[in-house]
Amino acid sequence: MSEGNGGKPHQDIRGMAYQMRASGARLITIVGVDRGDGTIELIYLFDRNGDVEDRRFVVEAEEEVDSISDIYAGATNMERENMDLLGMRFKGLEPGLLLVPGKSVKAPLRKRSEEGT
Amino acid sequence: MSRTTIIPIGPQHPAFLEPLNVSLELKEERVVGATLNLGYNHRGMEHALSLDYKKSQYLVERVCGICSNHHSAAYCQTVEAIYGVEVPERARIIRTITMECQRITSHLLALGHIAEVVGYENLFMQCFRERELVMRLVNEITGNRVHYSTNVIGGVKRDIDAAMERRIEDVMSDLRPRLEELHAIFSRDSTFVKRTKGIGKLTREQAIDWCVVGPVARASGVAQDVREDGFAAYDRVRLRPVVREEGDCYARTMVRMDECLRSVDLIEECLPLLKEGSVVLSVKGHPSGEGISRVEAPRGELMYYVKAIGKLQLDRVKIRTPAFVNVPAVQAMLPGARLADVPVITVSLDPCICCTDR
Repeated sequence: MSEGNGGKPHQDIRGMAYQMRASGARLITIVGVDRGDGTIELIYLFDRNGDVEDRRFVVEAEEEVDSISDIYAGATNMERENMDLLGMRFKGLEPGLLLVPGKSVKAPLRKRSEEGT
Repeated sequence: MSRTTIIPIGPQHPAFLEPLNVSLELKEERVVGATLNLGYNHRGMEHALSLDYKKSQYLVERVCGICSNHHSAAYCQTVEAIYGVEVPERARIIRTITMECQRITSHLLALGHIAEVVGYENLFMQCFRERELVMRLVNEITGNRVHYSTNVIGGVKRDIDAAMERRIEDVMSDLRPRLEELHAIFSRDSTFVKRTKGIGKLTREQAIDWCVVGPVARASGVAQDVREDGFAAYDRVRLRPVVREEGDCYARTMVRMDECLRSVDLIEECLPLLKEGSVVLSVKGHPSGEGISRVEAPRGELMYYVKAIGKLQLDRVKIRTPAFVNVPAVQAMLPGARLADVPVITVSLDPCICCTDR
């Protein structure tokens, strides 16, 4: 796996996605990891010529993040999954892919202060 | 002027083995739009798997009952990468054999399923009859038919002795002509061909856009197969990924059919590679660090991300199953299709909702 970009500001997400799409890279997934300090690390994983490459961004848990669903149609559900499980917000997308907003447990993969992990 | 009608297909529908809902927008008999609704089978597996990394090597198989062995292989590979250990060669070969056995059982299930929705019930029965040979073989190799529970962090739990090697050889010899017979039916039967050729097309560009993987991608001309990474013992065998260009239901079916025969080749190639040696190494201490690993499951690339923190609990487990990216692509395949073809198109994706929802 490549070194990634060490957590750039999220305003660069769309530029990065355009660049990867133009280079023929396939989007594998978007991993959201709660860092436990009110921020979430978004790891965009790509397959380029058989190698896995990552691009990392650190975002505030509550802020609205640019969506790349118009660059990769397959990103839509990846982003919506992060909305459901981590309580994130992506521009132009609604939660409710896997959970029912208002009925299901809210953001189950977010760290709670009483939990160590 | 015809009106637009909305028809919900699923979550409970005779064509689907698991709950998913496709909301169809129709103009008379033609689909003009489709929206996929998921989440009927969400079980919070990623949270459950992060509670105890040791128990998770077994729990992870419960994500899916069809590609269970691939889930445990991918999970164990990821944790092994964090430990920085190399699994004994004999264990890698055994993992390859069981993964290829599971590819055959999974593909025969998918082939039987599409035969059934096309209306060819005795072909469905024939697929499941041949599948049973491998199900029983796997039961003899691992002690289990569905959740093999043979992969552990550091290798495999059960070895294959000389008698079992002969037994595998015999079953493969028995299976090959049966698969060739199935191949002839799927490729030449006029009813099946008419119901699948030119139906539910996904172009190469759409396949890349929707990030699809496995037989769905390969049937649309995208030549990607994670086995070429050489995980387990795939660096020791001759891989010849099956790629077709048509992108329709027929191509997806034939990729799976051809892959069954390739899996028999791979299993037969693996057997002479088995040399004396241990099948598991022990690892000490709790893992710490981040790992990403992937395997080629029957439905395509299966990826695991694990972040370990030197405790029994894991900080994060993320599973990107092949079905999670393949199933949504049905929204690109359905517009323009006839209503009667919707079950065939959906089933041609080999949808696994256990994997999609987790």
